Amino acid sequence: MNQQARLIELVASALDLPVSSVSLDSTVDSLEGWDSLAHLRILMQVERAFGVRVDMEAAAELASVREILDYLRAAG
Amino acid sequence: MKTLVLGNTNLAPLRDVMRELDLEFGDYGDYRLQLHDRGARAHASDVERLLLILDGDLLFAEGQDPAELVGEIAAFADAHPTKQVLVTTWSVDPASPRSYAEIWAEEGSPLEWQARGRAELVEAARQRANLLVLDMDLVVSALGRERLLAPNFWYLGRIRYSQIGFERIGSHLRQLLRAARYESRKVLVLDLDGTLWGGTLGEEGFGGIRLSEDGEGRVYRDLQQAILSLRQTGVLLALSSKNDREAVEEVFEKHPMMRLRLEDFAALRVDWREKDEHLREIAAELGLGLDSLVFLDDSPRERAWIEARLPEVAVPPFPERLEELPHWFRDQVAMGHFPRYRLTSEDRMRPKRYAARRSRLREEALLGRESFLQSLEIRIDTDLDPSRHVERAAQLTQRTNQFNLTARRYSAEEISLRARDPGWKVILARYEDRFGAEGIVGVALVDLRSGEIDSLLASCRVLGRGVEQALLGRAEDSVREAGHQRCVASFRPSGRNQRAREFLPSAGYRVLETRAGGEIRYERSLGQGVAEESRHP
Repeated sequence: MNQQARLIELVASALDLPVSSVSLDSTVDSLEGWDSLAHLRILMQVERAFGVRVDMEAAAELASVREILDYLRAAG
Repeated sequence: MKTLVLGNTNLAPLRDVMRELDLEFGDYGDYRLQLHDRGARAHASDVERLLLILDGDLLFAEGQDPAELVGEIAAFADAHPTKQVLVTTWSVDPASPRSYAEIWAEEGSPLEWQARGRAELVEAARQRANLLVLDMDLVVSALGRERLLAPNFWYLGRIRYSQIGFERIGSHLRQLLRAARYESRKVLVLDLDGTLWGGTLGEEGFGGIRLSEDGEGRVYRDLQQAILSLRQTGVLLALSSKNDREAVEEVFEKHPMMRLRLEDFAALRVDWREKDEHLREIAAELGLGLDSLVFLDDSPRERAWIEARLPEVAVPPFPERLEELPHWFRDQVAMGHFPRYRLTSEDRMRPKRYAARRSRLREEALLGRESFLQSLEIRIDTDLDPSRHVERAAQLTQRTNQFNLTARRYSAEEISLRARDPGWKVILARYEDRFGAEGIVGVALVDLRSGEIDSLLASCRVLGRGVEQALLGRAEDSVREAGHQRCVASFRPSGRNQRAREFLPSAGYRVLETRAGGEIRYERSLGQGVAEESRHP
């Protein structure tokens, strides 16, 4: 599975949503349950799954699946 | 039933790694209030377990007194003997801005504080069946603080640990809870070539196998040492090897680097048959189910063979790198399949008992059943103080499947509670014969208020030697002494307790009613000792 598909699956599982309801364009505001705690849980799981460290200052800026993916690509 | 998680940091991510538990979270920092305030959630009856994960660095920085904190936790545990209270130890970072001068700190160094907290906690837990301790250093030393801590999430949302940190904490908690329920396998079945030594004995010979003080051979020597330590916790060892028996015996007897001896094994299968036959026979010989077995073999072919034919047997995969074998064995095999929380004296005696068991079987085959039984010089003691053996009694209710009238499972806390309750009688049976002591092998729980036997069970290794009759006799005596004219008892089918089905009718009990689920309730009049004879056939 490529990075993008793994990330979408991870976000869906963290939010307890079906994978089909999450896309690259999903944002903090468009997905149900993506509150501040869920945001941190998603980023923690991203760190674990992709072996990166998410900077504290960057974390607050990442507001969509696409932005997280871009961050991953820049970090990786 | 709920598990309430309390702490001084944000522990919400624990839910992601422990989905099998119904977790509920306190507000972080409210743990003291929860412990004290009788109106708080922790005291509610649907909370069956308290999980107290306090970060040691924060406690130390706040200048908390560990003795005081332990006192509050112990008081909560005492006030709620049916709740399980699981506490992680408080690990403190030895590094501080005072650098190397920290070691002289007058008010105590971080490590001193940590040692004091740990000692207090362990001492409190030693005296309380419902207070469990998980050593946080298992996580800290495996990961190191750099991987365990997540300063980014700490400052963003008071989440102290990283995802992998939570995973490790969760997996230790899970294993410890299994250990506390005695959900451990019982037998480790070992292969030889490539598992206990390097190389193939049949091809390379006595001098060719690798087993030594240094190099590759040291890996196997260390593994053997770890296996010996596991055996001391009461795990039985068995051998399953495709080899010539004589060549194998020569290695065990003469190889100077062998740590394991043939006498360490409770069952041996060394021949050229397939290993599923070995494992079936080993289980039968030890009187255990296949689900008690863990099979350790370096050969993927043998592992796949067993997995396909005996799905009940646990078959851990081997580590990818040989040098990881001893550590892998400790973390994955010992902790994963044989988790232990408290060791009972029965655990320590087990290997010896199985040796005696082998001698008994040999003699029974020789003498025939009747004369064998008469020659045993059986002694059964039912006068033990149950409050001194709550762990063992709970273990028996959890693990006895075949001869178990009601198959009700009890925790150590619940046994301890009943042992102190004048409305209950807890009867234990200890068995001994001329081959040796079997230890405590049977339990009966009697509800004295209703005059009903709640549970009666005996380990299958002593069945047919009078233990179950002795327990029933004592149970009836206690019911009679409590002023009842009749004794009530039940058989509840569990799917595995067929061997207990005929016990009550054969002891003179008559059917009262059959309930949904197949439970049969019986009674026997205690007036004149009616069925005295059928009780002692």
